Amino acid sequence: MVSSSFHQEGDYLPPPSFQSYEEIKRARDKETREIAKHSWQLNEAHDKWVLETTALAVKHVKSERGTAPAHFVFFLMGSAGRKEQGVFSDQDHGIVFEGKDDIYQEYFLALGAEIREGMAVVGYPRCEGKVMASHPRWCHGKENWKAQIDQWVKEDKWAALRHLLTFIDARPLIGKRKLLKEVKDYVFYLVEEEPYLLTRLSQNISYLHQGVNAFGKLLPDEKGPYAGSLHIKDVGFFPFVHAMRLLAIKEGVHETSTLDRIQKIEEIYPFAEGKENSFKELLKLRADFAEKQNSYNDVHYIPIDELTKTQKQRLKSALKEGKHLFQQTKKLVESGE
Amino acid sequence: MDPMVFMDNLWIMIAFILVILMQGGFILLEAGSTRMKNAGHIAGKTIFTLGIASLIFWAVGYGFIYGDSAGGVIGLSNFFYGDYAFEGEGLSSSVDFIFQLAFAAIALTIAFGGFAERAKLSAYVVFAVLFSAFVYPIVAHWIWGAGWIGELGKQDFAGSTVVHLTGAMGAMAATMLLKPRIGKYNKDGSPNELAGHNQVFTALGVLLLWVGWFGFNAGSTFGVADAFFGFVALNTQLAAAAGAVAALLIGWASLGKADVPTMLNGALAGLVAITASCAFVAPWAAVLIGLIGGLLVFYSMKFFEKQGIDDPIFALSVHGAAGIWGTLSTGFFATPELAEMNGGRAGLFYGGGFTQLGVQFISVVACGVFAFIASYILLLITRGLIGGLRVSEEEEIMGLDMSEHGSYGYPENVTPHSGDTNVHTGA
Repeated sequence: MVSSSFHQEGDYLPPPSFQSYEEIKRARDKETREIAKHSWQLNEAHDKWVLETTALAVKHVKSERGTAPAHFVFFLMGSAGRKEQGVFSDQDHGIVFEGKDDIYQEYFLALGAEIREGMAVVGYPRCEGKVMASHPRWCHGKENWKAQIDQWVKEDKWAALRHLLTFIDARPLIGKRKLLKEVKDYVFYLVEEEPYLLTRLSQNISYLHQGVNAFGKLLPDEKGPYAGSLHIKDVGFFPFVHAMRLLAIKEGVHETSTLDRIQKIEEIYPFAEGKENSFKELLKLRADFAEKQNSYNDVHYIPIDELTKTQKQRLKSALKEGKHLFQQTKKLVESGE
Repeated sequence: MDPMVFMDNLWIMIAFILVILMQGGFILLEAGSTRMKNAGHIAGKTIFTLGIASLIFWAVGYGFIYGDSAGGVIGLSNFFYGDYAFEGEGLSSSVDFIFQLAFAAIALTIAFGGFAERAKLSAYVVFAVLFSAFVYPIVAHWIWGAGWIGELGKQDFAGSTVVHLTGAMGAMAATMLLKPRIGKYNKDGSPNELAGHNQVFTALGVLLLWVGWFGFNAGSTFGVADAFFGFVALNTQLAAAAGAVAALLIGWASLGKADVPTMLNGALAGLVAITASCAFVAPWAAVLIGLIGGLLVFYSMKFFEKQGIDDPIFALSVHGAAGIWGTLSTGFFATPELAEMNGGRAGLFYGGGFTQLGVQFISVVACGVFAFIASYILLLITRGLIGGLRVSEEEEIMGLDMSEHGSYGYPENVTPHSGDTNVHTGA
């Protein structure tokens, strides 16, 4: 499992280097602008700032409620889990702890709430869908996590399975990462035992946004604040992300970044070969406009009119590759082979 | 031009306009009976499928129905219709053509009732072409063209079988292949109520259909001679009235509450039922036919729901069950005088024996079975062509307004953030 470069295995929780969230924000803002154009460095930096925020939150909660009553792991999901964040990114995180919910959940929910508020100050907006460790859905003891996953699978509803897909992108940032690994292994075990679950997960992500029209022209927003800009998250990244996540589940791949997943997957499935170049192209395109992105919504869009002819060609090609990868993956998974 | 001939043509032109206006009734009926997130889609699709039905009817549909019959099975001439000739008597062939076209479009709209809230837009496009070319025209040829059922003396004045049963069988094939909407049934098979979003629309839709039906039934006199259209209209009005009242009362008595959608379906069932028999029966029989239609639709709705068949617009009950009853009803109630005037024989209750009833029964079975099997096969072909008939789970939850068209019919009331799909995807 790819984890943060900044934390140690086990129980080690680094002491905070800052005294307040505002200080972290100032330091982060300064650094972010310098490395905005380099996706990997930017994501390493995001990890660093979230780590600092979490360390400070742990300290605050410790002073109010005492030391954490059990070992735990704090993990990131979404684009942070996959290390694919743009300059701005919202929060997606959770906690697995040792022991049971009825004894320890209250403490860790309070920790989750502190992290949520701290991250909001530092510059990571709260997640609208409440995918945060402060929400009972995303903060459980190890066995309760497994029970919740069982419940999601049994429920078999669209929203429940979407939660499961979200969880698969979890990447540990701080704490005992073995806890997270065990829960994720449990998902892989369930899929192996009941392959139809994978089909259901595939059906969950059937909606593909069109990026190019029938005449081969790019399809930006026509109206509104992003008129003329293409929603690169929905149109560009998602087909790759969804496809590689599905195959990662199928093959029990613990890597969470799409690029790492492609590298593992292309060894097994030839149709995934070379797709990392297209995905890198999309990451680069988004990073090229980093200077013009001033909000979380901005990072999802790239202005089509400002692209050169070559950039447009590359973008179209990447979108085509993503669509192909997505369709091939769904065909494979839903055929049950 | 002879004034009577002129009046005949003008009357059928007015009737055509009334039948086309029935599409407006379907728009309101279907939109009101379904959920807000699908309102724009369901209203809009009615318009473009009317377009497809018209083009196909012009290209091949009319020819398959009224062309030179090949063994009583299908017509094979008069394709790509474009005749403006007028022989000075009867209807101008173009007036006749345009009136017939409107009926073909109604049958298609009924069939699409079975698609509601979960079929892909592309499924509408492809099936509209196939149904308009290969299902409706065949049945219409059998009964109204020089087909084998017409030769038997079938009585279907305005199309209980041709239009309503045929459409309903298309809807049944579709709803069975598409499977129930998400949330309609629980895991133990018990049904849930997926209430339509606007009963006012539904009621207005029914009223618009009711008015349009005077074009449908009374227009099927094809002329103004003896003002017989007045009698047809009277029967139509009585049956619709009896259907509405009967459904209201049976719903009230059975459920303890006078359910509005059931009552509205009762009115429609009365109209559908009288469609075949409106020119053959006495007014008291029209009342009885409508009344039985209203009762039938109540039990039919319950029956299909219990069978696990999700019928969002109740097309199977309103157009199918009531269509069958209406077709059979002339076999019971056709009077000797009206049968002599409009074709076929007297019904069972007028000393006609079982002959007419037998013909009516054969036609219902033959047309129903053909329309169902043909629609089923054509839907399988459609599924193969477009890679599945149904939208994805996510699209169904967000609503077809957004997934198929990119904007909501009620943008102020439904936003992407208010639906169930607002589950964070972890991006």
